Amino acid sequence: MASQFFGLNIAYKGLTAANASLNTTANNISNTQTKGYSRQEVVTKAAEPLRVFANYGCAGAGVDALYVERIRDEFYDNKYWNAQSNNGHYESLEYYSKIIETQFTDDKAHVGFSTIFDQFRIAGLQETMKTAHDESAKKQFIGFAGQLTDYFNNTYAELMSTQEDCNQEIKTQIDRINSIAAEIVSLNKQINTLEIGGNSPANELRDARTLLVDELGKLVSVSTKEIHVMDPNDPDQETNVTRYIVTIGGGELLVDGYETRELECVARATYEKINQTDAEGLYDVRWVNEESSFGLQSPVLGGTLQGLVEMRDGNNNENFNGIASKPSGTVTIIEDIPAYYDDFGNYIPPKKNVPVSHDTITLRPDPRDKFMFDLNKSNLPESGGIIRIDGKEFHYDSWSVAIDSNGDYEYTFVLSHETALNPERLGGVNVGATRVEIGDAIDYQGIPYYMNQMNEWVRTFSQKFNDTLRSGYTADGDIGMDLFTGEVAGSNEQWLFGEDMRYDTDYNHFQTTLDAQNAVRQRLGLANVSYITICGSAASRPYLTKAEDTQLAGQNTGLQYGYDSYYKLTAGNFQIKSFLEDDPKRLATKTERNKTDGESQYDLLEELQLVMTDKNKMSFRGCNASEFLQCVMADVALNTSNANTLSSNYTNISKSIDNQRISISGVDEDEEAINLVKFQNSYNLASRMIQTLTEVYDRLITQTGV
Amino acid sequence: MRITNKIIQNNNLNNLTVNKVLEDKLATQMSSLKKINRPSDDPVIAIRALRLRSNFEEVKQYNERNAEDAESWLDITDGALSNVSGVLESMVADYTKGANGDLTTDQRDILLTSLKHYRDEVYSTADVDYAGRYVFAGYRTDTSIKFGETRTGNNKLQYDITYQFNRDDIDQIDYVDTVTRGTNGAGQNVVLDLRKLSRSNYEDYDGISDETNVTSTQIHRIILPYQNIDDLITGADGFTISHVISTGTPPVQSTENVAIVPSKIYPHNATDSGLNQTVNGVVCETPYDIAVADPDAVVVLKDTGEILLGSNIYSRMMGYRDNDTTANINEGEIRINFRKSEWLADDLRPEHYFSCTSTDTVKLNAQGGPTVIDYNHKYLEGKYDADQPIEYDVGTGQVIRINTMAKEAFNPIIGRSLDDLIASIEDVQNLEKIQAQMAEVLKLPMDLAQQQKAQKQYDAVSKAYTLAKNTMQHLFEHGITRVQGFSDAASLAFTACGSRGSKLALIKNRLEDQQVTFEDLKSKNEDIDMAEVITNLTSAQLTYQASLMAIGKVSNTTLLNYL
Repeated sequence: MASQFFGLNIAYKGLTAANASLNTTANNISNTQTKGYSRQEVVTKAAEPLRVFANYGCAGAGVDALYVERIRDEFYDNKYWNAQSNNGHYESLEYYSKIIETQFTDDKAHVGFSTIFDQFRIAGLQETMKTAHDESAKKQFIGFAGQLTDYFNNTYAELMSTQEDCNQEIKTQIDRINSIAAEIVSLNKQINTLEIGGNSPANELRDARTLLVDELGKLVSVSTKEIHVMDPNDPDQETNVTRYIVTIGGGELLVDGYETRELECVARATYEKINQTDAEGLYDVRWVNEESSFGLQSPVLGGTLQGLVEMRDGNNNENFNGIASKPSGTVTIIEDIPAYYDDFGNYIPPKKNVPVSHDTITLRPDPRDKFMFDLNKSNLPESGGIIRIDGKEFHYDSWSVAIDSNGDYEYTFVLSHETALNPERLGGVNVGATRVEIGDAIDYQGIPYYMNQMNEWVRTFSQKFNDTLRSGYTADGDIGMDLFTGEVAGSNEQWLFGEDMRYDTDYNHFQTTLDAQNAVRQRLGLANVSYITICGSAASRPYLTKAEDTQLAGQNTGLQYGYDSYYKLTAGNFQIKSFLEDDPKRLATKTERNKTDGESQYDLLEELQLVMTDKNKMSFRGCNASEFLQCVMADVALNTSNANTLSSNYTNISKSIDNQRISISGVDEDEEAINLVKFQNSYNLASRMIQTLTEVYDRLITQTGV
Repeated sequence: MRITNKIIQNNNLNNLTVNKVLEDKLATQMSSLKKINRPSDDPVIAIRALRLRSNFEEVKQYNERNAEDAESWLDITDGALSNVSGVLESMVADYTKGANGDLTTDQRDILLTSLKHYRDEVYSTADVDYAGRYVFAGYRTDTSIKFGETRTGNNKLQYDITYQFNRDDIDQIDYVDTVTRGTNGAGQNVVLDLRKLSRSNYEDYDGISDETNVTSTQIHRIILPYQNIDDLITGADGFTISHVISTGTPPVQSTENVAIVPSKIYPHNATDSGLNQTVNGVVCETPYDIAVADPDAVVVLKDTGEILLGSNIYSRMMGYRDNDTTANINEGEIRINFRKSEWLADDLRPEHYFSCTSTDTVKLNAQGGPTVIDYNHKYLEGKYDADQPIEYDVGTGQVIRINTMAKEAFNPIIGRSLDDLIASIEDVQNLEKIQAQMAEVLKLPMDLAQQQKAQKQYDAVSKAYTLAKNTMQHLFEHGITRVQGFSDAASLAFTACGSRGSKLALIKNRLEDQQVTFEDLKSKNEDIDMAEVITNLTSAQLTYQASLMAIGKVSNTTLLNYL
């Protein structure tokens, strides 16, 4: 027989449970619009019945409110992060593609390559052809050429600054990743502290943690794992404590329980550039206080970060690489060694004119990598860089290339002095096996790709155009001279390009070139050097100064001293020969054959016209020179439209997954209103129960048997 | 699936955004009137637009600039050529008149005046210019056709000229020999020329000249393009006359030099007389006598710029003729090199006509030496005609030639023929004057012996006068063909220029069309179809408003409102 007051107790439990549910409903309603909030529910259970030893068996003991639970399915969280990662990736590509697209747009609002080049090719050239004697027509023609070089300079600078923006954003993202990681660790601790005591989950903290991972998932691909920690005293028994593990970028551990790894951005020095076109100080990312670097270039990096890296470093899968073709060698170069601290922290003072032994590595590219067989397409930095030999990184000071009569290229790199930059010397290499690589192959047409496209056009076009001019004569019968050149960095002087320093596939007078090169070598006292180094300081050749150039211009002195490869020319330093700008009369208009024909002879200009319109005279990606923008615009427009489509697709996917999450976890106002009525009713009923029992006690105690 | 208010809001918001994106796109199209705003909207349209814009710019340049300029240039050329062909046509008429039988003195005087006028007029339009460029100068638009300044004495300018001609250019003259050597009354051996006879000196001629001494001989000659030449140029092989031959298979042009024995070259002036030079056993008093006496002679008349040929040399040259089987080689071409250093302002500059080398000792080159320029060397390679065309682009791969070369219309030989004829008429006038003087002398009272003497001289002069008239008439006769040839050449040039003009008009017409077509294509490619966009925009607005209303209704209330 149960206690007479048992019913009162049951009613009290009901009252408490209804109260708890009412409060939870209040909480739900208040958090309707809270980001990341999962609706909560009071988990109730019918209380353990009381055995009353009566013939009706057990008596129900009311309800127990166990705990408040958040309604959430973590399966959808993972799907959401995955979609967010793609979404972030393509959103950042979309943003930067649009910026690049604007640079290559040519319409009424934005004057681009085609308009400028047409002006040069049509109005400029036609007027000069009609009045080949006329200085003002030539002045206009050269002026249009100047607009062309300005266009390339500006576009190049804009792309470079976009690259810098990407780079800066990478740093911001990395900082954010670090701070999210720290917050997650702190939440992990709080959650465990709350949950260790009993079985009530730390709902709000868990929501906060999921929200952080949501954010992280957009920056970089993420996956999480939560494992219960086993009781050390009873290895089969799970404790309430969990270990929350976050990995990013396809498997790199970021957070493990209470531990986090930190990422840092390290700016590359000028001598560590990967591409010739790279802006200064691009960041490499690595783990703080660890040997291993962060896989920034990984194709499964995901998130905004991958988009940014693809945009900043994307080279259309074309990075410098090859297989060692000779055993490693050494060269001794006399140089000055700056002061440094050795491994034991001792100060080593600077030394002058010390013979320093440098390792060299020689390689041949894969014949299928066509871009390695034309220096006009080369994007190797001029100022040294980092080369990977069998996966190990070395700094190099300079590089050179030798082309044999079959047109095979062999590159040689002179590695840096070992104590300064390279911690160890290059050991033996396996000829025919050791893989040599610079940078990574990133399968996206990012900024370096576009910059290099511009370089290739500028170099090829200048070369063909200059060669034609150089073969001709001016209206006055003087020898023709180059129109296009580049500014030597850090000076007011301009490069002087000639035929004896030519490295490209189109150059077919190979034997004469070799002879000419030998002649130059001898003049420069480099007779024993088997390669001409065309970058770096090791054997840098003096180029003609502006004054010398002007002085020698047009005089057929046979001097070919100091001509430079068109590799030195970039869209950034592209310029009009200042001498021609000052004196347009020096623009060649006649071929040698007809040089005494008179001032109005214009057969050379007809050849120039062919250089601009005939793809057999100058070819850029199989098109003629004037179709540069068509080719590049096709790339940029397709990439942008791709990024647009994918970004909007993944936005939609994210949204629909988010809706699925909301479908489970979201607070529905109508539902809560029903709950409100429901729980109020329960509460009222429970309260009514107590009222009823009160009346029962009243009857029993004061009126029964009295 | 459980739908919460949030999901409804999200979905509606998404749909609303889709509508807004569409509306934005359509509104942008409406305001810009372009189908696409950025290349990525439709890469095909964007790239095609670039191409069409290039095409349009090209056609615009051809049409609005090149064709217009070509038109002006052709107009100016046309005017000048019309003038010269007019002059040449009148010349043909006058030559015909001159060749027609006896001319009265008055008629002859009128002819002389008009010939002199032609001489002044024929080259007068050669130096017309278009915007400061000489239109007949080929590529040498800064070099006038005529010298324009006198280059003589210290200011002389040496040209070594190769004259290329063929056997048709060799003509013949009837030389009236009036020079006689004999012993005069005082027993002196003297040389006297009837052409210098006058009423005061006729008695000196007694016993020396009479009718029988006045003869007319036919001599073959080459008129060089210039008077007052320095000399013929002798090379390492001595002086050579070269002519073109073809050798090999396929035939290529080559030349063969015919060396002239140095002793057979006789440099003189036309006015030389009383030479007293024995050639082949004949005493020759004038250069003309030498040409007759020596069949191998090459007599150079430097002052008049003529070469008299001995009969052997002549017949050898007449043997050089074009071989019809070799299309591009003219085997009939004969070349003579000569030098001339003194120039008058009206002389034609040789570089417009001949392969030549100028050596300027006044204007020095950078090294301080004389400026040497080699002109038109390719003429010697048989490329005489296809030369220095100024062609304007008037379409892709289509050009129109706008210039006419001086040598096509202003042949230097025209002036030389006129000079020759004028000299001949003046000779006739001179002899007529002498004859008239002698006639007056005969009317004077004098004794019989004296009368006989005077009569004898009168007869001699009359004969010379008659012969000279014959010579003149022959010159006119021979000249007709030649001047007709010049006239034909000039009308050909004139017609060619005119037909270029009409061709240009056609081209311009077509360019006009093309320009419109490209404009049209451009617009079709880039521009919106207004009706379509407006319809779409209206429907998009409708959709947008409908969705706004739906959202408004849905999100307005919840169950809480009714509790």
